[in-house]
Parts: sequence; structure tokens; C-alpha cells
Amino acid sequence: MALREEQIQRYGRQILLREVGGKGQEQLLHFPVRVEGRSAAVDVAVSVLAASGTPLVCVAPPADGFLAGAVLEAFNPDARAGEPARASLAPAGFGGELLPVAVLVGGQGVAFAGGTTCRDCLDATARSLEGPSNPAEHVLLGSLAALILQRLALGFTPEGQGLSAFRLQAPALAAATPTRCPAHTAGN
Amino acid sequence: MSDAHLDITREICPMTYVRVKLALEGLPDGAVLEVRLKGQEPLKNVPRSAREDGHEVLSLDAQADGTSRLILRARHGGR
Repeated sequence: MALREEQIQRYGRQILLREVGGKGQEQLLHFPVRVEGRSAAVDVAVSVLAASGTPLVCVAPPADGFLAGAVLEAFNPDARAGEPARASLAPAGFGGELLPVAVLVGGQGVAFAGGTTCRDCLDATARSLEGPSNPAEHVLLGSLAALILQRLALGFTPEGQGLSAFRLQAPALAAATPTRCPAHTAGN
Repeated sequence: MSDAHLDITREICPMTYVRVKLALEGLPDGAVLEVRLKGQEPLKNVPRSAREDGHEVLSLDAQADGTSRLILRARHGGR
């Protein structure tokens, strides 16, 4: 489906990115994400995703001042999901249904997993991400979670197998340190 | 002989290259796009951005009416 003129105007700077372009922007507009719960970092991720045109289904109320429902639609009508979610975004204390792609964001890092990931592995990783962090780190982690989801929507990360986590290492995010559990991610 | 034409003389940055990028994306590999542009910004940035995206700049000529004619060949192999 071709981009409408108002969408070309709205997403022009994003379309300029080599990794996005017009076709990539269309993919972002048709990759609905379900937001399973709220935290400061999740609210930041929701704001970034809504601005980029990702359709969102928010199943929990946001903190004051953040986007949801009618406010979200007024901010960007494209962020209203019209089809079933293909990925989920949740705080580290995630307890919902595992969609083909799950991105968890906690005070200590971000994890993402494909639909074949072992649920025990995901839960253990999610617990390890919980913990205090300062507001700036929530902004950092929420932005990172949104970026990971966008790259998944654009097809830059292989689907399916595996579980990866990016951990916060004071005073800032260190280089990516993916964690993989051979016992659970090999389909055993 | 070009396969498509695009007039961006009334566009301003960044929409100048956004229009060109979308037009190139819509063309098959090897197709030729003729772009009519005006002003220093697109003259400098559009050919450079097209090259950075992997497309070929075939020619850039000033026209008598003050516009320029840019000929690009769409290349999608590097993506």
C-alpha cells in the first residue's frame, strides 16, 4: 500500500534513512505492537513508536503525561492499531501472552525474543532486567527498546530462534552483550 | 530517454530528496529517472544522496530557465 501524501510529509525524515525508505516506512505502519504493561521506559518506547507510525494497542493506562488512547490518536492517527498485534512491548515484569516477537524493557536493560524462545528463559532474563534506574536511563532504555522493535519490523534481525539482552552497565549502556541459553534456545 | 520524470522545483529540504528517493524506489533496477530541480540545496544534496543510496548519477545539466536537469539510474542491488 502506497504512502499517502500526509504520511510522506510526516515521516519524510525517517524515509530518508537508508535502512527505512518508503518501503520500510510502509512496513512500520503495518507492524502493530501490543503494549502489555506500563513503566517509565515503556512509556518512552511508546512515544517513540507512535511518532514513527507503529500501530499500538495499549492494554494498561500510561503514567500522567504519556500517550495512550485518544491522546495517542490525536498525536498520530497512524498509531491506532487496526489489525492484530505482531509483537509485544512490556516491562520486565512481563506476564502476558508471548507473541512472535517480545521486547521487554526494565531498569537494567532490554531483552527481545522470538516466538520459539523458551518461556522459562524469557522469564529468567526478564527478572534479571528488573531493578532501579534513574529517569535518564529509562529514556535511554525506552528509546533502545523502540529501536529494537523497529529493526525487527524492518526485518534486520532474524526471526524466531533465540533470546538476546542488552544490559545497562553504569554509567551508560556498554556494548551489546547478548546472552543466550543453549539449553533453552536450541528448541530442547 | 528516461523512464520517469519528477519535478522538485517547488520542494524544500528535506522533501527534495524524499521525493527523489521514493521515485527511485518505485522504479525497477536500471530504470532512468529525470529530475528537474532548482536552487543550490537540491543541486548539492540530491546527487550526493542518490550516490550514497547506491544509485548512479548519469548527468546534471543547467537549463536556460534557471532549473537543472538531473538524470539518475536506479540501482537496488546494494540494498
